[in-house]
Formats: sequence, C-alpha cells, structure tokens
Amino acid sequence: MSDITYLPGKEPHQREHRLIFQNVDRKGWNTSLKCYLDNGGYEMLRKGLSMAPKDVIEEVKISGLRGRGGAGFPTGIKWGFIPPNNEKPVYLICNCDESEPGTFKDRYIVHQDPHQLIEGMILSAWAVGAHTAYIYIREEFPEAAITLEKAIKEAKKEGFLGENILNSGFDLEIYVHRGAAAYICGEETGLIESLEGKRPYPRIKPPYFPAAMGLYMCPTIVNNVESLCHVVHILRMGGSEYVKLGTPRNSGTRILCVSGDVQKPGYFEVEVGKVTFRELLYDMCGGPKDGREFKAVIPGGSSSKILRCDESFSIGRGDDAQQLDFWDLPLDFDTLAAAGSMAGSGGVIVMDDSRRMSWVLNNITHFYAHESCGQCTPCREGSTWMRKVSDRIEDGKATPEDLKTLEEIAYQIDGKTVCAFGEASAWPVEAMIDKFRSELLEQTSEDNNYRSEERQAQEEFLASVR
Amino acid sequence: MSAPTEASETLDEQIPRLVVPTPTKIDRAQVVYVRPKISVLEQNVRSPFTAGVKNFPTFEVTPALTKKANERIAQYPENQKRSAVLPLLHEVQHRFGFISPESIEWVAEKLDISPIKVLEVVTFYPGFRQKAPGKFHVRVCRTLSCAMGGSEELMEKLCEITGIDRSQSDGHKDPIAVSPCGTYSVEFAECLASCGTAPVCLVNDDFHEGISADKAEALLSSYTNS
Repeated sequence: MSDITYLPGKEPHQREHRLIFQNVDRKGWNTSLKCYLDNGGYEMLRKGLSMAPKDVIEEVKISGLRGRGGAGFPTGIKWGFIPPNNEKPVYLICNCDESEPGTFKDRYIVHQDPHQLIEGMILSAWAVGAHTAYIYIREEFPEAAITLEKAIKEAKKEGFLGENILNSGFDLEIYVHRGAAAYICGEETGLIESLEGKRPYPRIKPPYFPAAMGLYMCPTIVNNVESLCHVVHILRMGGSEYVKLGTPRNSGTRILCVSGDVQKPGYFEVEVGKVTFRELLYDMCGGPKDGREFKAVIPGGSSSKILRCDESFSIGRGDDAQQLDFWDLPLDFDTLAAAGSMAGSGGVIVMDDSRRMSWVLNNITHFYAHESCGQCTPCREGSTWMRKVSDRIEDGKATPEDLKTLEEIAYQIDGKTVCAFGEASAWPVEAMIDKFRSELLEQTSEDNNYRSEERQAQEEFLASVR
Repeated sequence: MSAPTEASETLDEQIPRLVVPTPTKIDRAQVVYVRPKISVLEQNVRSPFTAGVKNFPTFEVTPALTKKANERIAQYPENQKRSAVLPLLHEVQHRFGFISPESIEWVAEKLDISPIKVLEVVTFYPGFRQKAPGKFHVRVCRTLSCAMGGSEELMEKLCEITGIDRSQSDGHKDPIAVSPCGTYSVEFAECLASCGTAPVCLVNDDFHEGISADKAEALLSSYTNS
C-alpha cells in the first residue's frame, strides 16, 4: 500500500517491512473504529470466521510464527496443546505486560492501533475456542487501558464482539485487566496467578502448563500483543505467503526496539534475520554518538546475554559452521541463540565506550533484586546478594575475589528456580563477568581485602588442615 | 595432616584446633528488650502520615465507587470474584490516592475473602501505595536505558526544585518521598517501556518522554500553573 504517508520525521527506514506498525505514526490516523474500518479493518475477521477453527490454527502453523514475547515458541503449536477432550471453558490472555527493559514495541500498538490487537484476539479466540479473553495490561499504561476499553466498546457496538459475532454464532467478551507494576507478571503463569487476584508467584511446569491448567485451572492460551497482531496479517497473506518473509524457521517480521547510545534510537519493523547488527546500528540508527565507538550490545532485553562488539562467533554445526563477526550477525532467534545469547523480546540496548561495565552491571542487578518475586530461595536471596556485591564493585570497595563470588552466585541461581526469572537475572551477570572480566577487575583491589580476626583464624586453620 | 611420628603422642595433640579469639562478653543484665508498640501485621496495614494527605478525600464507600466495583467484578466468572482484587484496588487508589486499612477491609468484604488476602496483594505490587503521595506524583524510570539517558540527574533536579529529601526512601519498602508542602512526590520506577525516548517519567497518569534534567522545571511548572 503506497498511499500511506507518515508523520514528518517518523517515516520508516527503507529497509523496514511494516505489517504490525503499518499504522503507527501514520498521517491522519487515530484510534477510532471508523478509521480502522476505512482502511480495511475487520475484513480478516469475516474471512477467519468463515473458516473452521482448525484451519485457522493450521494456517498459523504453516506461517511458522514464533512468539514475540521472548521465548520464541511457535504460536500455532502452542494453540494445539489444548487437550482435545477438553470440556472446561478455554481462556485467551493477551500479555501486554511489556516489562522487559529495552522493549517498547507493544506501547505503540496499544496506544495507536488498538483495533488491530482486538481483531487479532477475536481471530485467535475463534481458533482456540475461547469465549472470554483478557488483556493483561501493565499499570504503567493508564492511557492505553482507557483507549483499549473504548475500542472494545466501539467494536461491541458494531457487532465485532459480544454475542453472535457477525452472525457466525460465535460469542466472545474481551476485558481489560490492569496489572500493578510487577515485572514477574510478564511470566505467563505469574500473570495467570495475578489475574486470579493473588501474588504473581509463577507456577511450576510441569504440571501447570497453561494450555492444560491455566486460568482457574482451565486451558488458557497466553500470547504476546505482537504475536496476536501477526495473526491478522497471516490470514490476510495466507500462511504459505507469510512464511516467505524472513528466513527459514524465522519467518515474518519483528519489531526491534533500539535504545541507548545511538544517534537515532527507535523502533524498526524488519523481516526476521534479514538485518545484521551493522545494518541496524549504522544504517538504521545512524551509528554511534559523536566521537564515540560502540562497545557492547544487549540484543534482546536486559535478560539476554551481552555481546561485545569485537567478538566473533562460530555459527552452525559441522560443515555448515561459519565464522561470523559480531557485526555480521543477523538478528534472528536461531543465530542469536547460537551466539550464546537470545533474541528475546527484541529490545536492543547499545552501549558505547563511555560506559563503565560495572555501572551497567550494577543497574541491571538492582533491577532484578527489586523485581524478584521471592518465591524461590536461590533467586530471592541470590538476586539481592548480586546487588550487594555489584554495589561494592561500583563503589570501588570490592576485592578480586568478589568477582568470583558474584559468578558463583549467578551460576547457583541459573536453572534452579520455578520460572525463567532465575536465568533472566543470572545470565546478564554471567555474561558480563565472562566478557568484561579484566575491566571489572580493574575496579577491584586487594587493599579492600578486609578480614575480621575470626575470619583470619578460620582461614589459617583451613590452610593448616589442607 | 602429617602422619604420627611418635607413638607417645596422644591423638588429641595431633589434631589441629581452630583457635577463635574470645568475643567481648555481653552483660545479659544490661540488655533491655523493647517490645514493639505495634505488631508486624499492623505495621504493614497502616498508612503512615505524609504531607500529601490533604490532597485526597478520606476513604468512604460512595455510590459511584460501588457501581464501578460491581462492573469490575462482573468481568470475572461468578465463582472467581477474587480476580477483581487488582481492579478494585486500582479504583480505590485512583479515587483516594492510596490504599488505607479501611479500604482493604472494604475490598475484602466486597469479594468475600479475608482481608489478609487483599493485604498480601497490596504489599507485593509496587503499583499500590499505602501512603499519600503528593498532588503530582512523579515516577521516574531508573532502568538501564533511562539511566544511560540521565534519569539520576533528572531525579536530583526534581528533588532540588521541590525540596524533597529522598535520603530516607528505600527502593523496596518505602519508595515514595513527599515534598514538605505536600504538592509533589517522587519515586523511582522500574522500566516504563519507552526506552527509545529516555529518560521518561509518569506524572500521575500522564506520560512524558525525553525529560532531561534541564526540562524538569518546565515539566513541574506546567502542572502547578494549570
């Protein structure tokens, strides 16, 4: 569609391929239903409702759509997990908790294009057989909650929601549920607990896979805002056409959010795997700030492992293996996983050579210590310990041994908690120490090595028995 | 450990012992145990007084609140009323500024659950506050991208303009600091999800992006003058 014009200064880069963000920053665009209908809105709903639900699921499976919330799990397969002999009600939840530091894509969808999300949700609910859907929106989006509720009301008036949608006999109600500023609510089982009105302590999997035992112990599908919006475009293009976008096994488009030390931070919707770090950071974001050089990049939200800009990676197995510099890495799920990090939620945080890594580490550990829900001991205690040790490093009161302590704590959290928060808090610390050890060591000193008399006696004793 | 050399040595002498310096003696008679005046539960329920109290009406059950609460409760299945805890608390906080002990009782009664189940939610979520903020409550993002964009400086500037003393607030238990006049309050929030336009802040329900420290004055005066 070439007749779309954007607000001055907000035009998409030529490398972008806009599907989801087609209407973001568009000239003359507003959140009303009329505006959406004038631009072909809710057409796909008619098409979708004329198809059998299993055909919609099949279409999404063919498209190869992978969840855009962080884990990159195939959406169609997730939908197929609902037990076939299920007699309980099925729920659909839209995860709009967007709390991963560095990610800000959902903000623009819910603020500027709420009807796209609602259409995607109706289609998804039709596919999985849900008659009640909730949008779990984070507390920090008060305006978006109002926008969405208004949009739902409008859609209901026109018969796109409520009973007997477009005379298909399908009923659906969508409700907005506001969270209360807790990061852990982005975890799907934590989110479900929160929706049930409890503290968002994540549930252990197995057995509590949401598709079998989710909200009120009924089958529940939890999808990210962006994933649900993609469903509309998959039906429009057809799964087999959609899969041609991007690269094999990493189909479609995704929104990359760049923040930090670049000339032009912002959001870019690109085909998955078609853009490398060099193109993203130099061509699209205008390179580093004046007189600076890029130092490190966090590729997928603050939980992903940091990458050095001077690293090189061996990607692929056996004969296919190839050596790639950091700058030539494409930003797709599989390559970033092979490089030891993850594509996560698409939040790219860039740091230049003016940043001290101890400061970055300190900021990140403060975040995770604040947001740990406190259910599992390794994470609750460990995240606070990591914060304390990183405080010492930042204040210049640490000994070289503290780095070892920090690393040990991180490895003891990793994989020993109910939910993925454990990894999320440990991975950045592990990677930061691994890749910037010498820089962090410079901030430590043997002079800080204070030992109490008891400790000295203990150490002498231990040395004598060894 | 070295092997025994002489048979005459007793076993006791061969084993090295940990020699710990004797700690200073504490005279037990001098130790006075002070029982706290209020219990831990009461400490968690109460709303400490702040200068911001004058900005908000005291909690009362108004017909408008009841109507809105019933609407929210209807969003959830009949036997799952507990789900409405968060929406109801939001309604209370929106109208009365903070969550008071009376409002916790009211929410519990409304949903047929025990008050402790409401309290556990209130104390967990950073989005609920138990003391009155200022008329204009500023939440500054402190997470990585915003910190790189200068949110620390913004916070310092805000405190300087409004005369707020943040030295007593700690990020976890008591993050809100209120100005002596009660008009402003500040708080460091975790990621507000607009990292591309750092540093960002929320003033009450309005979102502001790209607020560097030099724009702090203009931001506050836009509220005071309106």
